[in-house]
Amino acid sequence: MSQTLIEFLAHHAQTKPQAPALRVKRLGVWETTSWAHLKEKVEQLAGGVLELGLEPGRVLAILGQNAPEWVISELAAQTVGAMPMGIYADAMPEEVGYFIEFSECAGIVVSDEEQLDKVLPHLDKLKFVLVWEEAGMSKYWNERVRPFSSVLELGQTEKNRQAVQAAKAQVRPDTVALLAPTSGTTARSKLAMLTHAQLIAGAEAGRETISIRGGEWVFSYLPLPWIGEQMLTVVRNLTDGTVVHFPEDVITVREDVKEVQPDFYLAPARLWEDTAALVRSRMEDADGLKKAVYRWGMGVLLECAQREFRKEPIGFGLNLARALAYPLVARPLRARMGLAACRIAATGGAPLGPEVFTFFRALGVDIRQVYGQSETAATSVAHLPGDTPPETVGKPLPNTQVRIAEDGEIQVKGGQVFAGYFKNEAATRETFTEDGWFRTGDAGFFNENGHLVLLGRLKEVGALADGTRFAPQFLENRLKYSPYIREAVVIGHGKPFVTALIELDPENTQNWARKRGIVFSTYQSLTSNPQVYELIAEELRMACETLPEELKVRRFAILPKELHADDEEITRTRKVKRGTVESRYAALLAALYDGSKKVKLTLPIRYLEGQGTLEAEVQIADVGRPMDEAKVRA
Amino acid sequence: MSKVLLEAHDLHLSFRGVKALVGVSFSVSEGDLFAVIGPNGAGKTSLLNVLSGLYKPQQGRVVFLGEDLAGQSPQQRVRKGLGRTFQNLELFRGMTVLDNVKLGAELAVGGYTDLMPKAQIEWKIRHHAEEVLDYLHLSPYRHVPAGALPYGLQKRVEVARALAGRPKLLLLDEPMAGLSLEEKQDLARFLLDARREWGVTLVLVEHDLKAVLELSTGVLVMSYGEVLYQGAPAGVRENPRVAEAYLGRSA
Repeated sequence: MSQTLIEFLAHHAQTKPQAPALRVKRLGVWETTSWAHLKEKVEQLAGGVLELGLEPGRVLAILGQNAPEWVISELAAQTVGAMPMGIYADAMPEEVGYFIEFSECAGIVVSDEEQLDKVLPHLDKLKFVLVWEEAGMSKYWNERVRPFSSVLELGQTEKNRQAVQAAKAQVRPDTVALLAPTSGTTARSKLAMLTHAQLIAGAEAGRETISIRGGEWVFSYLPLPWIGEQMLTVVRNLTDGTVVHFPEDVITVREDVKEVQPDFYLAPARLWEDTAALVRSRMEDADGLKKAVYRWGMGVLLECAQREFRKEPIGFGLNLARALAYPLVARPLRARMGLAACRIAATGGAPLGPEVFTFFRALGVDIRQVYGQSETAATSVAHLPGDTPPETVGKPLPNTQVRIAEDGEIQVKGGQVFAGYFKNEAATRETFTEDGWFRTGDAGFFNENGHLVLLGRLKEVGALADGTRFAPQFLENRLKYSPYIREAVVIGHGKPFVTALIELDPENTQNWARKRGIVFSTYQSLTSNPQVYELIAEELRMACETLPEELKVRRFAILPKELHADDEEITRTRKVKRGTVESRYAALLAALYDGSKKVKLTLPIRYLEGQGTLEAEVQIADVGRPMDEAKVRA
Repeated sequence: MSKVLLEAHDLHLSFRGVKALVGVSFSVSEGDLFAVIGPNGAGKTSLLNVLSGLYKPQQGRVVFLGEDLAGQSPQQRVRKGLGRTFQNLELFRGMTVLDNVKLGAELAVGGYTDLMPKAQIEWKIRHHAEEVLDYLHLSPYRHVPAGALPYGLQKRVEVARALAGRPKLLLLDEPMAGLSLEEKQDLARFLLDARREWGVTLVLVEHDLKAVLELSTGVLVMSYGEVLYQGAPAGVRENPRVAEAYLGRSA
């Protein structure tokens, strides 16, 4: 049994040298890297970066889109006992600067010119910068900035080969193998240190959920610094011997996934929701026959899926209808999404609304929730095969203990729990309880079947003025199921009733407006349209229909702009930063509770490299019948 | 001084009474980025048409790589390494981007001959075309019909097709016209990269004076078929005749 990721690599290279490890679409053709070839490249790069000054224990930063070179760089760092650190490819230049400075990385590997531009101002702090997309880049080459391939050559000298072997011999299971940025919805993200043993423990714990046995095709398109993608693309690739496929370009992901049709698919909640919303709105716009077939077929499939969840019998007639609906509706849809071969899929990052869950289940895609953080190698609680109630995130995984603290916080203990934050002792101390459990900062409870139900961030679970407990995230997920709502921020802590800020789904709402001949010019003009307000009011009413009266959203306003990571309103993985949103839109929040009908906003915004302000008048509307004025004032 | 690649000697061209070119002479050295500028109707495109062989000048000679090109068809000139792009797009709109670029690539590979297996030639052409697509960041659009792309990308495809032939010298007719600032910057970057890494000499007709002065190594200013100025880009602004032609007499 291999103890480190590097030993897994050596094991595969020895037992199945010619089997494919990685594939990437380059110049229009899928190129394969075999295990033997991968190991060879990793060791060459390791030798090269050693020569250039990477020492064991130092950091090697990686910045770029997913590609084999990303993985090779990471494994090369691990081979010599250095710590790889991924930076999100869409990070702003000053974020990149912060990470370079904070991690004191010896060098950085970047994908292309766009990323190199972010690094060049910090060249004096780096020993080397490697670029893997080399075409057209010769004007940059110098002593420090080098083409990736030249460093592979550098590593082939006898001296460097020996240096690599010597360094590799020092790598232990408790050597730090990865610096994973935390999601940072609250502040500047921290770097969680994960050792080989912890990453492998995480992969072991999740094995049954993922149901991977080796040789499966996997598609790697989510940002690699994100721990979920790390576990799938790098760790599970090594522990289970999957074949990882990389897209040709960020904008060809949807096309490339159709060519790959992976066996296993990972997507954050956001993407599943987007896909479901897209299918629904496209079918709304389809011609009569298609629409009718879809309505009927999807109805049948959804009914079957719901009965299965409730463990009710399906019955002969319905079963027959499903046998017809499946090839007519489910198969074509799945092929379009690149999910034709995929039976098992996973979601993580944020809780997924039950409706989306059922939607994909009806299409025959078995989505399993995986709950975890960077600090727990993305695996602590998950659905197991055949036991996937959509409203929960599943049961604690093997060799993992999970408990609920007094205040409702979820706490975890297990082999996959991280070693501490990089250069941040204070935060490390704070995040562990006295008896050594990791505090997730999330609130939840176990239901009668031993399944964990997530409520949201502990800090955000609150109570209305009358003491009713409510979890904003829980409500937000319900609202986001509407195809016209991309993001919702639900407010109510210490308030007399629940309100919401709505971000429209631009594409679906625009299509809706166009079909009805509603005139609009920009996104902003769409957000102030009275008919759009009526649409959203109706969507909110339907989403809250089954909720207790006091938890229903009573008032809302549509945000005049899309939430954007450059304005720090959402993270790079599209999680809303509540604090920022609440402070940026404070005037709007106040207006939701003081009875005003409209409010003027002046927002500083950033676009491209510039800054500006956005002036907007935002309307406030009630859901259903207008609110009783007396209650509003209360 | 690097070697002279293209020379024009005393070119005269007229359409009936209209004089398009009046005694135009200049030379372009290897590795130059040579810009031809001038107001509308100055004869810039006529000059490119003469160089690429679409028009036959009444008088004067075009010498490329030391060889007089008189009597050679545009196709022959292209095969000698004298490529060009057009001001108004001349792409095959119904063909995919890849097919358009493969047409160009055929030149560099040497086309279909009987000596090599077809599949092997096809593979070489495809590979060559893909390299250029990658270089110009066009790979994501390879299977899109060229006519379905936005204008800025079509311009880039046109440049890609010309570059795929690996010309020694590329004549570009207003490659930046109608592009946004960002598209212009991208295209300028690609052209400079191609010049540096593939050693392509560029002759460029351009309206955008700022782009020309920033990029070029040599400038030819024309007005009504005559040469007003020839030399380093820095001298253009100071030249009184250029100022007059561009800005009017009072300036």
